[in-house]
Amino acid sequence: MKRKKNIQLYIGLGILAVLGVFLVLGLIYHPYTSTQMDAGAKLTAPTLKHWFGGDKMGRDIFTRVQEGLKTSLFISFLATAIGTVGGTIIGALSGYYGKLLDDSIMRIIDVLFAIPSILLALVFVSLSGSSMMNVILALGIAVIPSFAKMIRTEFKEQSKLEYVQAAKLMGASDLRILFVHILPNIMPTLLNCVFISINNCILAEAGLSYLGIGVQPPTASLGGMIAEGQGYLRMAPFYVIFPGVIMVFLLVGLGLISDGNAQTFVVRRSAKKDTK
Amino acid sequence: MLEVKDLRIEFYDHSRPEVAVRDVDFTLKEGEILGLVGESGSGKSLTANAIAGLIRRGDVKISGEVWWEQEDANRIDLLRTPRKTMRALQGQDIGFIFQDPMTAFSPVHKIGYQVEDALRVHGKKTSEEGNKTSESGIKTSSDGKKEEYSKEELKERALKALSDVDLPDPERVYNSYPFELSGGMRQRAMIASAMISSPRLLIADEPTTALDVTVQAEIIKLLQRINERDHTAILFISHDLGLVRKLCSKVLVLKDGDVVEQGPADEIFHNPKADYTKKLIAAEVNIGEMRGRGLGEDSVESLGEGANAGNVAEFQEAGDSSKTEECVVRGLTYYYPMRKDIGSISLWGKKDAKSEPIGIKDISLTVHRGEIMGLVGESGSGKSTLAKCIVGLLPVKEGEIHCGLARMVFQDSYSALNPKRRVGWLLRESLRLSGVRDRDEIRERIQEILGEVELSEELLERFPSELSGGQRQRVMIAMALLQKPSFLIADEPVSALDVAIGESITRLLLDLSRKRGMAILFISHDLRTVYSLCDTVCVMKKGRIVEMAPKEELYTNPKEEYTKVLLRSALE
Repeated sequence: MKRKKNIQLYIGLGILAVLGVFLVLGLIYHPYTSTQMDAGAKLTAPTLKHWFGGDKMGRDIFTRVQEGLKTSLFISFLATAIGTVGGTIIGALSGYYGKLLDDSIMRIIDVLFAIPSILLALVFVSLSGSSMMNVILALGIAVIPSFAKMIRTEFKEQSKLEYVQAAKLMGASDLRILFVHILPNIMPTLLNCVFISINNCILAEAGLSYLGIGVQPPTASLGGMIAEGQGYLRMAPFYVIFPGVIMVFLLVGLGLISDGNAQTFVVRRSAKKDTK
Repeated sequence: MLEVKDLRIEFYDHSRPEVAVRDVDFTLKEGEILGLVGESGSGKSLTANAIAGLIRRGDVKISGEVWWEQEDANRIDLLRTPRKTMRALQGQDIGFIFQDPMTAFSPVHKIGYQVEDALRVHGKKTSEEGNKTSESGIKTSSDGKKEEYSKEELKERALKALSDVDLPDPERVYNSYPFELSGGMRQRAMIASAMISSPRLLIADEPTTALDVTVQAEIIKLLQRINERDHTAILFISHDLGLVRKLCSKVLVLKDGDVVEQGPADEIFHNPKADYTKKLIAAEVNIGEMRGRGLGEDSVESLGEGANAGNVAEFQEAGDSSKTEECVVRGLTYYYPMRKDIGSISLWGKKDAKSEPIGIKDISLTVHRGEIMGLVGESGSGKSTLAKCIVGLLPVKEGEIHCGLARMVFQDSYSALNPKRRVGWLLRESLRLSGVRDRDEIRERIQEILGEVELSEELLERFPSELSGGQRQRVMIAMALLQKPSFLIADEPVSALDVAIGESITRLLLDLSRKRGMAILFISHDLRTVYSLCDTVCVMKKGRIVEMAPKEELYTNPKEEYTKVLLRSALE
């Protein structure tokens, strides 16, 4: 029964495991570097020599997709980390203290919400120049508002509960209450936010790279490869298909994990309510 | 009429299956009242919900048989009937009264609409027109469609149902929203909505637990009358043995999902066989001893082994000068801040008549070292507000509070303990917050306190949700005590527990006050517990203290009319 409930989680993990194997394969089998050019392999279909074919400069797509995947993961993990820390702090303060602080923070966030986060990141990157660090910073800042909003609601709910009052009575400082007492109780929500945010960051990074202001060539990124390859869709469809397929796998896998995670959480919570 | 065989309910919460109810067997005949007794978590409500078909399959596994005899003597197994048949029975032949009428009513619909709902959903009972019930048990008229009530008929029936449950001015209630009624009135309306279709079985899940003693007695009388008049069978679920004794003809005692004992009420109460039942009844008798002995002087000696009475006497002998005041409250006034936009809704031209602020007014009291003061009053009278003001959870602007280190034990130990932290962590945190850093000292102090509150060490590794209600309450007390308070406020610490466990908790509090000379403010709505525990008693009503006197004086010679009413309904 439990297995059935978690089926999404398991499929998601399975997909990510396949991608993991794909990355590990790159460690074992790497005849080419990601920038090494082979004139004979220009815009070719998959061959035994080049498993995923070659791109417009004859670089090995197999190697480049691996590098792109790594770049995407690296950027989205770091950006999410920034978003998680920033969003949790802002959300916690806003939800716990309420009143004027809450109102002002939430109005600012509402304003930010009105602008698509990819646009925010775009503005940030175009102002500060497009290095990988800037992309990470831009995406991290862009996901803070949605994090803050979700976390705030949770903190608001929790701070009404008596255990918070009890902790206050025992002399716990506000910071201690927020991050030692309440934080473990909102972990399930936080985890879901993290997964959703990783997903969003991968998409946003691909979007930025596609627009040419993300990771700069020659570093490979999934979005960048799709952008490069779209001109040769007729001649060399694999140029676009491979990075695209990998990205879809990655997104679906992460999505399933966050869904499965949410589901087990909801089920547990409702079961507990019943017993009570 | 209802026969339950080997009912078994299992949970699939974590990976291991958890049996919540094990092999419950009983029968219920027309016109009988069966009391289902047990502490919280013993599976009472689950059993009732399973019978009424209110458990979602999937989360739980239910096995066994529940035979329901229909009016035409057809017997069907409620656990295996199709959803549709079950729906036809729910609200029609089986009425359900929930514990908390506030949440069981939809807040945005008027009472009248919700009371009528059963009729609106089910249509007319076709048996009234002489039609046969169809084979599947769904009552249908000859053309296969439900015959519906007209609006006037609906209202007429609803008004009748409302006046049947002794609601004054049914017309007004009919047009009210749930929040406009008091708790007792809501519960009556709830009963009305369950009774409107004159069901043959009424399941009452702790119908009086959320109510005050005065109202409790009336609701019990009402259920009794319904049973006598309509011959409705009632499945009455409660943790209060006193009520069960008053109402039920048969009793079934549950503990941890097992049937401990069942039989006719007389037999169970006079000649209990199982140890658990004996313990329950003994506790009940112990608390209620004053009833049997009258309110004479000697009963004071017998209760609490005369210890706390002696305690007070000791202090009094020593003279007023050594009577150290632990907590002095003078002229305390606190009103809850009202939001302007809610305080005076005039959107529909209705001027809010009750814009009187909610809170407590001009409270003065003194608690001495080693004294246990009882604070009684119905819900909403400001008891908890006073407690929160004293410990500093609410900002006090008017009045003075002089108090030593005060700590509080909350009513609902379920929400007052952090669910994601283990008991050991909670206890250690309590010490850490009071400035103890040394690991050895922490371990020592925890050992010590565990002995004092009678908890075993293996509980340290558990989460609060894995403890019983009594154990949780002990953990709460331990957490408070670790900070070495000189004044302890216990806000209804036993009202969520069954009698036996409740009594052991009150005894623990008594011991603590004796051993440590700690002052305790004991908040309760149960006058019997207060009598057995406290030295002085304070009665609160609508945010004010209406009477304050030593226990014996208050119980033998109450001055205020309100105190008399409270006493009468408690001792009845």
